[in-house]
Amino acid sequence: MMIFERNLLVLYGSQTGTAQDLAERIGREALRFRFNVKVLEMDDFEVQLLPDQYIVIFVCSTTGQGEEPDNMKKFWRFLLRRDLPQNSLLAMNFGVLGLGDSSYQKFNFAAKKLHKRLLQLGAKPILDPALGDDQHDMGLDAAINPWLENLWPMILQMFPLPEGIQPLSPDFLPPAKYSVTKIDSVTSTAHQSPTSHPPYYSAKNPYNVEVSQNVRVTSAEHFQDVRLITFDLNDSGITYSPGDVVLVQPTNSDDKVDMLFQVFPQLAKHQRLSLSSNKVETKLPPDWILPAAGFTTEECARRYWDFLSIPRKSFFELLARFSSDEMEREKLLEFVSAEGQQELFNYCNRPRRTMLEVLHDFYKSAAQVPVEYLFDLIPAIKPRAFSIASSAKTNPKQLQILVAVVQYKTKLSEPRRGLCSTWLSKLVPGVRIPLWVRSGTLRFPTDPATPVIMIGPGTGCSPFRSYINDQRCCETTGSERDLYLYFGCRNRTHDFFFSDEWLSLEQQGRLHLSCAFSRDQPDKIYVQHRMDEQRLLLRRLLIHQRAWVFVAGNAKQMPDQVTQALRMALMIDDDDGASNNDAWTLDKANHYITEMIKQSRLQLETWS
Amino acid sequence: MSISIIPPEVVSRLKDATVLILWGPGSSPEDVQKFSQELSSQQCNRVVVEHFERLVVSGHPKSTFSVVLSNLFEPHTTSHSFDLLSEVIRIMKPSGIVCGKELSDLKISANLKLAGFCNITVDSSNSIFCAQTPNFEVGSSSKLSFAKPSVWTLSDALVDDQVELINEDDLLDESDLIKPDAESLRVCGTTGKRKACKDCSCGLAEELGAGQAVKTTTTSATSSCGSCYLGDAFRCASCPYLGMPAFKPGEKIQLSERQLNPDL
Repeated sequence: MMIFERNLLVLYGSQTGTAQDLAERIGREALRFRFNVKVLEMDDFEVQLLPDQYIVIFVCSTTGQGEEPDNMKKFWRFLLRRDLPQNSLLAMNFGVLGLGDSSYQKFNFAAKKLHKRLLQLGAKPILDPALGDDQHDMGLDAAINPWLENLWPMILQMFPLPEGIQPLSPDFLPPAKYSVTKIDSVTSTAHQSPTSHPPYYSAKNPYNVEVSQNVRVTSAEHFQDVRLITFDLNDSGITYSPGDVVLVQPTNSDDKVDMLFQVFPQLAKHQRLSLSSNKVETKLPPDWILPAAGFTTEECARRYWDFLSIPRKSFFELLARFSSDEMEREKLLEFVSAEGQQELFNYCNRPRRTMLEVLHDFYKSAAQVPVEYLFDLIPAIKPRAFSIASSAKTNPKQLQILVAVVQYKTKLSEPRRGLCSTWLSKLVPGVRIPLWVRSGTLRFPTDPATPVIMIGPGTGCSPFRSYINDQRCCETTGSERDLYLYFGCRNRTHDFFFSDEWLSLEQQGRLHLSCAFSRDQPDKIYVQHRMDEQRLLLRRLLIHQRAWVFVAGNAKQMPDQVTQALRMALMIDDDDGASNNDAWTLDKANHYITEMIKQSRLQLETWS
Repeated sequence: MSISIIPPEVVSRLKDATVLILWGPGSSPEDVQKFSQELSSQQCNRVVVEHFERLVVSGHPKSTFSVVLSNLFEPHTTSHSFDLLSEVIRIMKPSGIVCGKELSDLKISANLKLAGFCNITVDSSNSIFCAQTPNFEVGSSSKLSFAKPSVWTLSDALVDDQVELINEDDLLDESDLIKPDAESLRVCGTTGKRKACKDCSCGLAEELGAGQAVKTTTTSATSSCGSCYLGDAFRCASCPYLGMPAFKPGEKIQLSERQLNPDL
């Protein structure tokens, strides 16, 4: 214990580990100010102890479509109880750090709701919530760092240090997260295949699925490689519904792993290691990635360390602590300083420089990092989610995803590549990878009379291909739900995904298909232009038939432009013979759209 | 070991004190026994002897000891880790004192500071350190005294499916729907300052200093400042090698058309 009764609690809700990393960093900062710190995921915290806490910092990601992460669902549910008295948390001073992405409509909703609920329960906010935004050029740090700088002085005012005690200086070295032990015993390194087949696969216990096909679906001339990958579910018992997502955990390639060992001469590739946690509440990595029984350093570099991620400011801070090379240390500290933020952005964020590239620039400092601190320096590889593109009804015991391989140029000579999409594109049929399914956030209408309008350009069409096949798996019975698909891509002949399926359904009168091929003509035509051509139809579908609208895909402007197209459709002059039919005003159209969102009749699943 | 090795400022605290003697692997129990008897001449209130490996397990109540004597028996094998010191300070009273011997090259004063001790002294001649605990006790009087509502003490609270919940969407209002303005998310890359390297000999440093517009040199593929072989972090703004990894000085590097004409 630091100083008697000087306790600070950090609680996090983290879906991919980002919020967890940040929570752990806050825990380290709190040590400087002589707090006795506990860092826990919200669901691991005994919620009954919440009224006893004086200082709590909440780190809360928003995932999917405005939802809270899985590891805080129980905690959040408890807080929502109607029978919690309003004075429950009077002793608490709190702050909420939100991590989100403003390309989503429900930006940082989980953090915003948490903040409001805590206020309702009588807790006192130290600061307004921080709203970290992935869309910012400097990423989440742009909101987080200034917020934390404001936080500590305020906390010290409320809980001052006693006479004669100073905070530890910023360059004190906190204890490493894990202890690393070298072990010699020969233990099997094979992934533990479960002897029984538990029915429930999850992030803690993925299913090792076999890749059965990996096919490029864009034409050879097209600039982008897009893959349709088929997985064999066999007897796993895994089921899914349209809109569900599948999560996969990528690994680093052999050549990148070799480059990592070049900058860390203190590592021995084949040395077996075992981790233990330095604090009872700090979790170890999942056993299926780094077995508790032991793993080689090479396995760690391949499966766990995300050294191709873009380093955050905390990386430069930690690296500087170990550096004894004057030139390198000076530059590292410059990147950490307030004055050096512009330089840091130009060096690191703007060109999307990877941690590996940075380590090569600072190779002298890299060689000085003790092995156990590498687990604080390098974040863990996060799983990635993909919308499932197949329907279990048309592809039984199979699961398909549509993956666009991410590759682009910045001013760095080597092109930037997506870790996961590149890894997926190289998977050879027969290989097994771990994956698990998670419920999607799209909710489809139950009433079969409700038409469904789907707008899904590019790979955004994935959940819609799943839904369409699901709806059309059997021969038509005559009366079936009307389906409208607005699909957009660059060229009819290059990247028109699932064209044979959809054109065939269109011919049978079972799908209304509108395509926008943006580069097939001099003018760019996008999905919203097709919607503009069909305003009357859309208006009638929305107002008279109460259609539901789904928008999915990867484009920053697209959701706004599609919503605008809906607005314009609602405002069109529709002379359908009724006497009281003035065209709607903008206000009325906006109000209708807001209502649609509340009733789940307009749902967006967009990503960037 | 005898009392004589203990610094006088510690000895003076022994009268009426509750003392903890910590000993470790390699030390002889007889030595420990002998010493604690010697201590009785100092009229301590109570003397407790504990082996390091049993310290945490014993779970002494907090704020118990006013004097702790640690690792003072040969061969002084124990190293005072942060975790060990955290436990020691937990069970010590305010204004208490710890005295110990640290033979390893562990940064003992850093660990002591981190654990919350103050007034740290280290005698390098005999590797003996002393440190005090702060003289206050926070928290006991500042707890708000209100009864915790019983709903918070239900043991099965988390799994109760029947309980009614508030509508979480009602928590938000119009202002929560506002998203950040797109411009606020950008960092200006074009007006960011262009940096000259430390020992700039190409004139960029002077030009920047004079505030003049800088003409980009395009044809020279040799280093003006001698820093080109380093990574991008150390290269100047006009370096033709920007974007490439670091290389060994003297190595010949082929520059592409694009790199020779960065303005095009």
